[in-house]
Amino acid sequence: MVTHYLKIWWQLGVINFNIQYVASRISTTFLILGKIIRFGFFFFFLVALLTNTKTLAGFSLYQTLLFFMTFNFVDITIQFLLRGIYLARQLVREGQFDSILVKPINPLFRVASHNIDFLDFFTLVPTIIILGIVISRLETPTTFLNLLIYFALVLNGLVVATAIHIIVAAVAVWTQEIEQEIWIYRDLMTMGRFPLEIYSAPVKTVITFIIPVAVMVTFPAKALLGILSTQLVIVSLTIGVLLLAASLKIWSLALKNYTSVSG
Amino acid sequence: MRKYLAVSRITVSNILEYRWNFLIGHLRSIVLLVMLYYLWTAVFSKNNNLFGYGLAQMITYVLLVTIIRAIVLNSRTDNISGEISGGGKFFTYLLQPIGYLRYWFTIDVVYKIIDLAAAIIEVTLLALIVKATLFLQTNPVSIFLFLVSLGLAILLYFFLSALISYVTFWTYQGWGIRFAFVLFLEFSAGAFFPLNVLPATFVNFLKLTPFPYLVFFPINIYLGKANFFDLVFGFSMSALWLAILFLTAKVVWRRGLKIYEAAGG
Repeated sequence: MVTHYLKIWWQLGVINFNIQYVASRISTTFLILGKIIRFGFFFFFLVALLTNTKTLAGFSLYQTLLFFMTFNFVDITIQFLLRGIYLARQLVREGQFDSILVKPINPLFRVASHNIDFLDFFTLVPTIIILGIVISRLETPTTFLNLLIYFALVLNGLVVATAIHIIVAAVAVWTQEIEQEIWIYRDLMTMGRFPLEIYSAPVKTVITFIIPVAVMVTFPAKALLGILSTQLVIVSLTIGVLLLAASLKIWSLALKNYTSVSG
Repeated sequence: MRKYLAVSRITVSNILEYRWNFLIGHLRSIVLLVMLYYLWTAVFSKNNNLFGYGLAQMITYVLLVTIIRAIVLNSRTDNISGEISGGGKFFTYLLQPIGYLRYWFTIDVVYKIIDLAAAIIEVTLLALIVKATLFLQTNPVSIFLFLVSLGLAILLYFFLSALISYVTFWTYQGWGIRFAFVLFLEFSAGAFFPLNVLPATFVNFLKLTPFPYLVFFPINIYLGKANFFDLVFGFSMSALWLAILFLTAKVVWRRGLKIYEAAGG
């Protein structure tokens, strides 16, 4: 079963690679360049800023970079795995979703894998390397337990992000809407570039409980720094499990209520 | 003139037709504004002066960026790429008694006016909610020069954006180039943070490009941070780049038309 889906995922990736890169390699090259520019400017901005200020909301240079790199890792991984979700509405409107439904494959998997981009490796691999360097240079000692909790919470962050994307896909299938709205999630997600401590209480509440950016990005980094309470670790994991369960339920309801809109 | 007024009316109708997208677009800019506001507030909680700015000046910088994004870094000329590369719609403009760039500039002006109004509301609301400490420029000369620099910046960005779209005459893959270009432009224009944050050598290099004159230079004039030399150099570079971009746009347009094949038309 897993091998079967992995094969399909690989095939879809290869097809998309041929469409995206072979057919439009200039655009793709510049797309990667753009992502590197965005990452590079923010990275150097943080380094330049922290070199002058020494701390940001009480966090040192490498601690701040840990938040930034964790954000990048979660964001790029989710983009890599679930970019197809952004095209869900288009698939529905153009009638392609109907053909997906009659195929012997999980429709959610098929929608999510609709736009796999292998070229994300060009940004994901350096991100993982830099993240490793940042962790190795943290001023505070990193225990094995903290590292383990960090990986568990990053994984949980990916689950939360996946759940949000599933809800977005469900709304797209259900209502044939969601065009610009997903970008608000993406923008709110970018608030996780910096430690949660810089924001005011109302903003913290929004990005912890409404769109749980903090759960996805900030809490893992704090766990690695050994400053996340056990209660918040449990709350994070509970939010992950509940949100995933809720998202799958909403997706299932969306499929039940789906009425073909095009052909 | 009447035909451009008609274009304006149609543009207003389009904006009103897609008002949800308009609102969402502005909600997105609020998120960036809030993020930068809190970032700098946190930074200045332990520092009185950084990179030559005080807290009030930095917060004013962040708020002015939102306004400048609405009137400078805001052009519908990105649609030119799509029109050249697909559907043959571009071809129809060539048959109409209308200047192609004038047509797009008219559309831009309408968007800029409406987005400026929305940006002023966003900035005012945020400033009132967070009780932001702002720097208010009272020197009429500085305000006048700030407005002149904004006018130049609007034209600079318009021709830069149009030129990027003209790339589509040679390759139908213009969107990737625009993505990278806009990101580089916004960072090197100072639309995310003041350029003083970056190493001096890099900033000096950037000052030879048109980018800092889109955001960083106008805001520094408003904040009273540009001395006589900065003003002379900045306005000279803006004017020089405007002339270069205007002439390049003309040449590229002519050459592009020669190889345009009206695919899809």
